[in-house]
Amino acid sequence: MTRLFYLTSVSKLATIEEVSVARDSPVAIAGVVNDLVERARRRDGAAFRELFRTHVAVVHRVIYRLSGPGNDVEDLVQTAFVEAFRSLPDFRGDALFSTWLTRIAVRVTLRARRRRPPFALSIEETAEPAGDGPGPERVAAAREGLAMLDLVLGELRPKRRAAFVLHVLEGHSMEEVAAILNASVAAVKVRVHDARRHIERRCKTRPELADCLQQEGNR
Amino acid sequence: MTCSEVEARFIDVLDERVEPAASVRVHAHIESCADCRSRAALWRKLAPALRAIEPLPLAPAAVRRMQLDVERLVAWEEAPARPTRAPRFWRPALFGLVGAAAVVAFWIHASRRPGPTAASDASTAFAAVSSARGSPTADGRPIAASGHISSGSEIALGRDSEVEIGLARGARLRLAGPARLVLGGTARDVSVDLEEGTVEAEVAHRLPGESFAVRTRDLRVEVRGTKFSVGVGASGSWIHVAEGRVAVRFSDGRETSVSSGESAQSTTRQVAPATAPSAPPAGCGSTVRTCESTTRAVRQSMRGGDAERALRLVAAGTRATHEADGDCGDGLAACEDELRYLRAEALHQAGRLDDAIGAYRALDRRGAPAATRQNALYAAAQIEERRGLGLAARADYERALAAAPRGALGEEALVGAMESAQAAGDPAGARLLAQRYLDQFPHGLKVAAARRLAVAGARH
Repeated sequence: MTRLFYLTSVSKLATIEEVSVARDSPVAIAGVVNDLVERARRRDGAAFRELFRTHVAVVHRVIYRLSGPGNDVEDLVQTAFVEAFRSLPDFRGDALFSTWLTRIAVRVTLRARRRRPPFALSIEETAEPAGDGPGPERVAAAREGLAMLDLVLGELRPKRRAAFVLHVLEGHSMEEVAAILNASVAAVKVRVHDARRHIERRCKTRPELADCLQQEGNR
Repeated sequence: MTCSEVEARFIDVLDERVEPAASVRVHAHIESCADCRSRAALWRKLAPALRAIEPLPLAPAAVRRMQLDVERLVAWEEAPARPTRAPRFWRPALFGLVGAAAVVAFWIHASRRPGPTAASDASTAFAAVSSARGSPTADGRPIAASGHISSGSEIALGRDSEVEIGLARGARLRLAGPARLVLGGTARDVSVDLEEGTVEAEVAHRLPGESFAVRTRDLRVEVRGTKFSVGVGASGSWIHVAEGRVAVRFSDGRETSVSSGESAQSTTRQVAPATAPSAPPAGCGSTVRTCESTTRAVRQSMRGGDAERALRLVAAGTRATHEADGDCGDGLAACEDELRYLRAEALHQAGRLDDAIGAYRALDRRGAPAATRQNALYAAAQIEERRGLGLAARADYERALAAAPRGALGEEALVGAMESAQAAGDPAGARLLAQRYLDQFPHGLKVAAARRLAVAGARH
């Protein structure tokens, strides 16, 4: 089944959510997104906003998982959207808009990481949530899980990390990952395989890591 | 099927992306191979666990701010024209030219003296650290010798710490702890906001249109090319000029010129609230540029989650704009509006919601741009909505609608008003707004919801 979880976002104008509830069909949702893209191409401000709001959560998550923590994650999200919206005339509709947007987000992130290597998140590191954000317990738990995940992902080379994140964490097929990374399917398979082996070795040498990751995942 | 083929499909099997026949073959292999069985068991647990670990969601205020930034960068400007593709037979010549240009660029770069001139790009290398001793920090991070400092950074030095910073155009700053300052502006227009301690500055001659200013809470020093020290303590601020001459303006409006070997000092008696200056010390162009660089630094701080620093920068930026002549025109007025808006956003980010709502509402004033008023009122309404203040939210949505009744902003405000009327149990009001939406935006994004509301309202 096509992945649709990204469509439940922070949007107030929950147009796409409404459609998904009403028709429950990926085709219908893709049709709404295509309609929005078409309107955004004609510089319709409302369509821009709707595309931004319905995709910002997934772009943020992908960039965070690719880059790790850092003050520039929001900058990268913003850059990805700016590049995407400027390139809308080039979007041919061969792939889903979300796949195309993910491709741009990955490119922006890898480009930025070539200039500045990521830094590790310490569990104590604080990024105070906004006043109406999640509660402190959830923040603490999420931060611990994120630190563990980043510890594991941070050891991977950027291309391996990108392939692993997109296939294993984001759930894209090998073919989609190959299209996103502009690589061959065989190369993506090798990268994912290498990344998985690395994580398996880490889990064997540090069983508490595997336990912690699983516990965090079950929260 | 080999082990590696099966392994490559673990995630596809988990996500049910494998055809039934292939799935049977994969499972058969897993059952018959101990290695694959244990590996599959591991990933069956690990993959969902890893997926469940997600970054904390972006705060609504951050999403809104980002959206506005993206719109500002994209929506109102045309995409840059694509370069036309060169004919195939030109490519060897083009490669040759590019190669030659690269060699020349490398030669020029290598022949340059390394140093602060490298800091001409304000966004990445605004200032270069020449030396650092003790534990100086920039935005809370340790300053390393030969590192770079970006515009808008807050530099803090404890006792026994020293740092020397090189800026573009040959300017140098020396700080000895304890001291704290915000280094802002651009390569052309440098602004140093000294909050505590002493700074020694050596400023090479500035070109026309460029500025270099040091401000404390009670004086401002504007220089063209000189060597001087500025200090601030509990009893006021002082300046000593070693070479050249500087113009000093105190917060009470007094102005004086301090020459080589001379000093000037303010006292606490002279420390007074800023009053309208008789004449601007710097040209309007540099004031506007400094204000704009402050807004960039504020946004950067907010993206970094440091709302308190953003508020300090806004306060410093507002103070600086107040010192300028009142006739700086629309450019400065627009920047001041943006500072006010950013203050409201920073208050929101800091969790001071009542203050934020007040600051947002204060932006709804005659003469302010419609987009600013709509954005501010809409943001206030969203906070009120999340806090369960339905009536206040509806009122602010309607004010936002009055501020920008047409276009995408009008559509957004109208949707907010319509939905808050419905949430407040006012079907008649919701129906009127829904009908207005259908009339005004017959192909809008919320047509279906508006139709439902219009029909439901008619039943009542």
